[in-house]
Amino acid sequence: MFPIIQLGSLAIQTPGLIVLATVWVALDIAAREGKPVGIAPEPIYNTGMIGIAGGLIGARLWYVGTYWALYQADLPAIFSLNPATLSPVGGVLLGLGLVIWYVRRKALPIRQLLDVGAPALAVFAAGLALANLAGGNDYGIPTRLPWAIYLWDDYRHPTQVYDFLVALAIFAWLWRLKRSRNFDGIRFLVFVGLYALAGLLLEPLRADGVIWVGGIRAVEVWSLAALLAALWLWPKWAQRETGAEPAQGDTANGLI
Amino acid sequence: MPVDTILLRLVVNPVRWRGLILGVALLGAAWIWATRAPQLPVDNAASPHAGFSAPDFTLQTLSGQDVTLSKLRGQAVVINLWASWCLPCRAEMPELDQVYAAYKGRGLTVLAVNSTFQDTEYDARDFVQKLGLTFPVLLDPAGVVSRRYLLRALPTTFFVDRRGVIQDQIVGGPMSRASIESKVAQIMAP
Repeated sequence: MFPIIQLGSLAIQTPGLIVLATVWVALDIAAREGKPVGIAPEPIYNTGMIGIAGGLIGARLWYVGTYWALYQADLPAIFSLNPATLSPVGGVLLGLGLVIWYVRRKALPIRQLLDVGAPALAVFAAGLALANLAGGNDYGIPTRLPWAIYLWDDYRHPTQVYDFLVALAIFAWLWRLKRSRNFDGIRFLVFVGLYALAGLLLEPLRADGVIWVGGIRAVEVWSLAALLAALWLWPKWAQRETGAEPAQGDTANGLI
Repeated sequence: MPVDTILLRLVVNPVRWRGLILGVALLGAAWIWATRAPQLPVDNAASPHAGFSAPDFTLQTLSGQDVTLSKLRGQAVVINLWASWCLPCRAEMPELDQVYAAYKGRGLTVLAVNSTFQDTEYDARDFVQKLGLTFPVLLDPAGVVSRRYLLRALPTTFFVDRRGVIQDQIVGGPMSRASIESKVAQIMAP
């Protein structure tokens, strides 16, 4: 665990640095992936930057809104940013909303764009896992397995390492799919399906997940919903590609 | 049989595909039910991270009184690690003091732990007097709390709820009064 890199009197928070570096690498990969399918790098970078900016603003506004009674008496404090005073829900909502708005406004091919972004999302997921490892977040339950890591006063499942390996494996699978002839959107659906499946299976090994009433793990519920959504969309997107209703014995679509 | 082939055979047949979705939904629901989190009491392990009990310590105040963290159980506690030469610490201390004044009657304690092993007691006293701080200021000449709380940067602030569990940690500063109060609101709940 290396939460801080100390450069003289400057203390840099390692998780934030890793996330920033990962965003840069992920956008670069997406831009490269876009060229073969005719999407210029500029709208890809713009989509990414709009998502990030919208995510940060949304995360801050949601947090400020939650504690508006406190912030209205101290308006300049709204601009005093700290990762601990951001709300992920607001970030996802505004970031995603602005991305959808931008993509529609520019009339970008949505499913091709999602395919281009899928490997970048896998890289981002890998970077996020490393950031969590550096910051000691998303830690596992205690175990005596030989590959356990010592963290927070116990030997624990290295859940961050599991996440990292899963993300790399998904990236490799998506890379392999690039060579296959498939329908638009398949790489995105594969990313969502596999990442959700991994979330469903690995969550019980995590010690700091959100728990709902009755001990239900929130991440498992969201992961199952995402997995089912990917499976539901698969034949619809495959069908739209050819315009033909898939029939029994038809082997035209859906080949991985 | 490879997964690719299985999926291929299923997707071309809408009935089989719907069956796959239903099967995944049922298996997933069963998995979620089977892997429910056990209803355990609060993890008593002490570590300087959100979700763990705050590591205990006993230090002396500037006036020579002993303060033990575990004896403050039942109160919400803000632990602020600082040094007199740290500019962000200087900037946020008055804000922290205002929040302390506003909430101490409702069960908030602020423990400002001076990293005396990398500061001096003289400078710490001078700092406190000049800013007119009213909360307890503790001296940590051996760096015990800094080590126990894995201090990497100053200031670092921990927000500990009434059960003695760390709810949040803010590395760096200065924090605004509103930010401090928003975190305090989270630990003040009974």
